[in-house]
Amino acid sequence: MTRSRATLRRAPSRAAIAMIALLATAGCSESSSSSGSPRDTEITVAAIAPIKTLDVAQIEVERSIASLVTEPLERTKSDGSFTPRLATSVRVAPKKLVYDLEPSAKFSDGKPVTPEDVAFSIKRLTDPKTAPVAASLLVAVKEVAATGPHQITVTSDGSDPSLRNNIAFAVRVVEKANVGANPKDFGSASAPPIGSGPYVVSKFSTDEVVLDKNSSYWGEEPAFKTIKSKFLPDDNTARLAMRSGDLDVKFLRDVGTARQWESVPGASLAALPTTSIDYLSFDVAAPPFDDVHVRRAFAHAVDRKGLIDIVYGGRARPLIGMLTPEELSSISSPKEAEEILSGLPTYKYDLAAAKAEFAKSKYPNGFSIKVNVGSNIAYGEKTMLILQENLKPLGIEIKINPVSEDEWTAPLIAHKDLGMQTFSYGPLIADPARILSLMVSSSEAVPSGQNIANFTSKKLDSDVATLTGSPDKAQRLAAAKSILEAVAEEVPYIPLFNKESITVTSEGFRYNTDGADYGDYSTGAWIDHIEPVS
Amino acid sequence: MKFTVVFIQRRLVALTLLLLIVSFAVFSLLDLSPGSPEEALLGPEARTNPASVEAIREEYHLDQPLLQRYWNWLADVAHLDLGRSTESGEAVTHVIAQRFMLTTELGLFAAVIVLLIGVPVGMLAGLRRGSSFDRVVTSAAVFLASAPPFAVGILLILMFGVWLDWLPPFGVGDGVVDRLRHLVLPALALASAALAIVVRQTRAAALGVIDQDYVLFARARGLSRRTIFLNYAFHNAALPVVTTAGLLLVFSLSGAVFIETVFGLPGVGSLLIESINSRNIPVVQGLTLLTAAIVVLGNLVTDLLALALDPRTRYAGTA
Repeated sequence: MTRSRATLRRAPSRAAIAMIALLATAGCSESSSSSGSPRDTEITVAAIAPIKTLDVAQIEVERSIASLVTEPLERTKSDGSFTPRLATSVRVAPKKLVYDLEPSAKFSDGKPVTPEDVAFSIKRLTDPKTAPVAASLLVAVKEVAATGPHQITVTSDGSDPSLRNNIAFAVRVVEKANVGANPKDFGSASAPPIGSGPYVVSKFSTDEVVLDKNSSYWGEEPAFKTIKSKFLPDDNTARLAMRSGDLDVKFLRDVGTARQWESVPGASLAALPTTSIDYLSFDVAAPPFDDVHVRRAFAHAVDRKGLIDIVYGGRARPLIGMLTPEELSSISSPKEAEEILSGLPTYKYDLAAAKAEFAKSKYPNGFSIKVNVGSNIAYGEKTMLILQENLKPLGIEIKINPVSEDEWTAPLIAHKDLGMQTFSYGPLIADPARILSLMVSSSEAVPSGQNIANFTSKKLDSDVATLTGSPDKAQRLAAAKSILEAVAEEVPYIPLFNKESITVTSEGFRYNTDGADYGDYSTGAWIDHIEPVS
Repeated sequence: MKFTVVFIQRRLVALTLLLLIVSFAVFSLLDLSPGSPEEALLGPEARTNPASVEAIREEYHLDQPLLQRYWNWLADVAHLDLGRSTESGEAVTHVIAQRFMLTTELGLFAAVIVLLIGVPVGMLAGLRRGSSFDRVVTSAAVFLASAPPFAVGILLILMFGVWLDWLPPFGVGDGVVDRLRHLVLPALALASAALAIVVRQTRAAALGVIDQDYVLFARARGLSRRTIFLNYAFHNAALPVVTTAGLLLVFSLSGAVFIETVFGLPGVGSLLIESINSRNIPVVQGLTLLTAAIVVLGNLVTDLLALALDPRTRYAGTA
C-alpha cells in the first residue's frame, strides 16, 4: 500500500444539496499523493457519504468524481464564462444552441463520441422521471438533434436565458449503448459509466471508488495515475488522517473550521470566492415587519464584521447587495457590477441609527418575536444573539428557537408564519436571474416559493420578466439593478455575508488558485489545480 | 425441553408484535415530522418544478394516505420486499445487505475483544480483590465506561494512527489481513464501554462466587487454583455475565452509529444517519426492523444460554 496518498473529500452527496447551499454544503473533497512525478502519483479522495452513483441523472450523483469519468460539453465558471470540453465551440442563436463537437473525442472503450450519444445524453436528462433535478434545469429544452457529423443543435422555447449555462452544469456525455445495456443500474457500482473523460472507473464499492488514468484519453494526459475517493465523513478524523499522511486535500464543508485545519502541520489553505449568500428575510406583508423603519432598524443592528470573525473565522466578506459582484458580472463588466453594488443604499452597523429608525416606526414601544434558527444555518444562532442583545434597549424582544433543518424548512414551504428568517443560498449557476427572480417574484410568494419576504410589486414582476426572459444583456442588467435597488431601499432582505470556498492541501501539495473557480468542484476542473510542491 | 420450546414460541410471537408496533411507530413519526421526501430529495430549486415533484410522488406513492401506504408496505414486507431506496432506486434489502456485512464484522471483532479481555481480566480482578491489579482494572473500567466511544475513537486514531503510525486511521481495507488491520481501532473503540461493563460484571460475579462455601470446600479438598478457577468460579460467575450480553448488544448497535462515522466505515450505522438525513423512509424502516429483530433475537439467545448454564432457571420454568 502506498504510504503517501491524497484524499479528495467530495461535495454534497446529493445534487439537490449541491444546488442549494442552504446548509453551506458546498463541495468537499480531499486528495493525496506520493512524491515524484504527479503522473505516477496515486491520489485518494475522501467522500463525506459513500458514493452511490456516477450517473448525473440521479439525485445522489457525486459530481466531482462523475465529471472526471463523463465529461461536460463545456465547463462553466461562476463569472459566467465557459471553457470548451467536448464541445469545441457553441453558437448561440435565438431559441437555438449549436454545439460543434470535438472530432477526436472517444469513449474509454475506444468508440467515438457521436452526436447521437450527445443528443441522447441531453434528452434523457430532460425527463423528470429519469432525472428529477436535472430536468428542472432543462425545462426550456424542446428538441435536441444531431445536425452534422460533429454537431448537435438544442432547440429551446426561449424561456430561459441561462440554458447554455444549465446544460454545461447538468449534462455529462454518456455512451448511448452503455446506458441502454444497463437501464436500471447505470452509473452504480454494478454498472459504472463508460465516459470520454480523463479517468476510468477501476473499482466501485461502498467504501471507495478508484479511478485510473484513461490511457487513451483524447485530450491532455491526465495529471495523476490513480484517484481514490474514500468514505471519510468525520472532520476530526479527516484532520488526523491528513496529519498521518493519508489525506492531502480537503474542500471544507464548513469554512468556520478553517482555523482547526490551519493547525494541521504542513497543511495549506487555498481560498476562492463563491456566489453563496447568507441573509435575513422579513415578511413585509405581516406585522411587525410590514414597517420599513423596523426592517432598517434591524439592518443597522447587525454587526457583520464581528460575525464574520466569530462564525467564519474571517473567511467571508460582508455582502452589499443580494448577490456577489462576480455573479452580477456574468451579465456585465466587473467594473459595472462593482459600480451598481457600491451605489446601493447601505445600513452601517450603528445602534444610534437603529434607534432613530425604530422611533419612526409604527411600533415605537417595541414588540416580541420568535425566530426559528435551523441547525443547518451556520451563522443563524450567533447572528440572532447579537440582534437580540442590540435590539433589547429598543424594547424589541427576540426569542430564539433552535430547530432541526426539517422544522426550519416546514413553515418556509408552507409559506406561513414567516416573520424573520435566517437563510443561505448557493446559486447552482452564475446568473443573477436565478436568485433575484426567486426573491422578488409574485409567483414565488406562494407555498413552496422562495419569496419568503412576500416582497412583490408589478414593477418587480416586470423587472423579473426582463431579467429572466430578455436576450439583451443591457436590458437584463438594468432590470437586475432595479431589483437590487428596490431590495436595498425597502429592506425585505438584509444581505449579510458571502463566504469563501476553502481547499486544504497537505504537505507536499498545493491547490493552485490561478484561474480556479469554486464551481470547479462539480465540473471536474479541480483535479487540474492540485499540484505537488517540493 | 417442552418448556424451552414454549419459551421460544412465545418470544417469537412477541417479536412479531414488537416489529409491527415499531414499524408503524417509525412510519407514522416520519410521516408526521416536518418536511417531506420530495422536498428533501429535490431541494428548494427543483421542488418548484411541478413535473419533478409529480415524478417523485408518483414513484414512491407519496400521494396515498398514510394507512394505505403502511398497509402496502406491510404486504410487501410479508413477501420479503422492503421497497426501494428513495435515493438510489436500489432494493432496500440490497442497500442494507451491502452495508450489513461490515457492521457484523465490526460487531464480532468488538465482541471477541470484550469476551477475550473482559471476562478473564474481570475474573482475575475479582479473585485478587484489593490487589493493585484489581485497583488498576477497576479504575480503567470506570474511565472506559464514562468515555464516549467516539472520543475513545479519536484518541485511538491520534495514538495509533498518527503518533505511532501502527494502524490505518480510517477506511475498510482490501483482503482479510488488511481488513482486520483497519478494523482494530474501530473495534477497540466500540468495545471500550462494553468492555468496562463486562469487566465490572465479571469481577462482581467472581466476588460473589469466591466467598461461597463450595469454593472453600474445594480449597479444603486441595484442588488446584486452576481447577477451582475454571470449574467453580468461572462456571458459576458466567450467568450474570451472559445475561448482560443482551444489553451489550443494544449498546454496540447504538455505538456503531458513531464509530462508523468516526472511522469512515460504510456500515449500517452510517447508512442510518444518511437515510434519516435524506428522509429515505424505506431504508430507515428496513434498518429499524433489522435492529429490532437483532435486539429481540439477541436477547432470546442470551436467555437460552442462561437456561443452559443454570439448571435452576429451567426448574423454575417447569414448576
